[in-house]
Amino acid sequence: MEFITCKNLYKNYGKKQVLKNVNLEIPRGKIIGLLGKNGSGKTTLIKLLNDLLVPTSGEILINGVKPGVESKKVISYLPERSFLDHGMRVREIISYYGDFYDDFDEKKAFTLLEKLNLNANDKLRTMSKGMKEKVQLVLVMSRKAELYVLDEPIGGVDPATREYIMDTILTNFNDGASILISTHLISDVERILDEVIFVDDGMIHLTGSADELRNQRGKSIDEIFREEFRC
Amino acid sequence: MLGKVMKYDIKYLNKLILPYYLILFGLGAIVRVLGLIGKHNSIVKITSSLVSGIFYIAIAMVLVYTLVILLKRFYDNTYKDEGYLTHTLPVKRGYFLDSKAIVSIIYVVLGMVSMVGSWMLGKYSPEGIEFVKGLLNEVEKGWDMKDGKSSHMW
Repeated sequence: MEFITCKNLYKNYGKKQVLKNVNLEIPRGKIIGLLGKNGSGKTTLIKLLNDLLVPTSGEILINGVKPGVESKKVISYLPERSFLDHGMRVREIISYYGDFYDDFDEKKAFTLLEKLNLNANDKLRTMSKGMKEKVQLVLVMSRKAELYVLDEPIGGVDPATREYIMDTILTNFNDGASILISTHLISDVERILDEVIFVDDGMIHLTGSADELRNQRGKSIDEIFREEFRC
Repeated sequence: MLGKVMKYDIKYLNKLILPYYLILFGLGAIVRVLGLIGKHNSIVKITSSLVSGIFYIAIAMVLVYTLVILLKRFYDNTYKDEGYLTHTLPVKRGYFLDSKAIVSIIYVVLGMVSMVGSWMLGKYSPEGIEFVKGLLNEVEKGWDMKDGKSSHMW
């Protein structure tokens, strides 16, 4: 059984149709790129997977059940926004995660913080945007989840830090788990992708193995994306 | 899980609300001390009047401040960016509302206790109590008269 199955999924915001008949399967143990232009529906799909939105019609099954408390126990989600209480210290946020997520490894979180030169006693309010993003990444990657959903994890950081973040993701995810990375910065994530999902105008435009696509077309995923979505 | 949600709601609110309640008791204590030492000193009397004014305003604002902070917690935690985390915690949705409701009741009661407690600390006197009792009696009389009229009409 696939880890996530989406069947005939539609999502409307008022009269605007944001997702149109999405049929999708997300397997276990793969790194999958959810690629698309801005406003193509990537974040809406991710919010549906995380039970932040309810589909207008269609069905999502995670481990065979609809999104809810059980799916939240096994999905580690990094939103594109800064989602923490800025009045808290990093140490307090780690305790918070430890309290709510049974799969959260506090020891690993402190080790990762040290590696990224972050001080656990700092308040988030005193940190730069890049530092806050790193803290969020540490929290998400310190869970032993079955799926890591990362929405634009490198969107707001400089190219050198992007490399660092990608390495942190790659070396810290749980064995056997999948990673779903949503981004429009394809060249930066291309090297780690097993599979790709191209989303355009709320529809699944193309899915497949990254290696097969590269071999078939003799181009990088970045080049294929540019070709498919040329304005 | 409800206990854990409440734990973090209380932690947040303690940081913002408890200092206000403590300041209120502090002001009450200052008003009391100034009242005791300032009977024959005009400068202390003026200071006492000023501090009393601030103290009354602080007492009047207790519940307003408490409600504003409670609403801010609810709004930030539920509808703003923090909601991304709140709503992806493996907790039943109803627990977030339950926690906010229980914690709100606790802090409103604490606010009332602080109002009365700090007023008693700063301004309590047997004459004051008699004055309040008299005031309540008048209200009660007025209420009885209104009731009498109403029953007569019916």
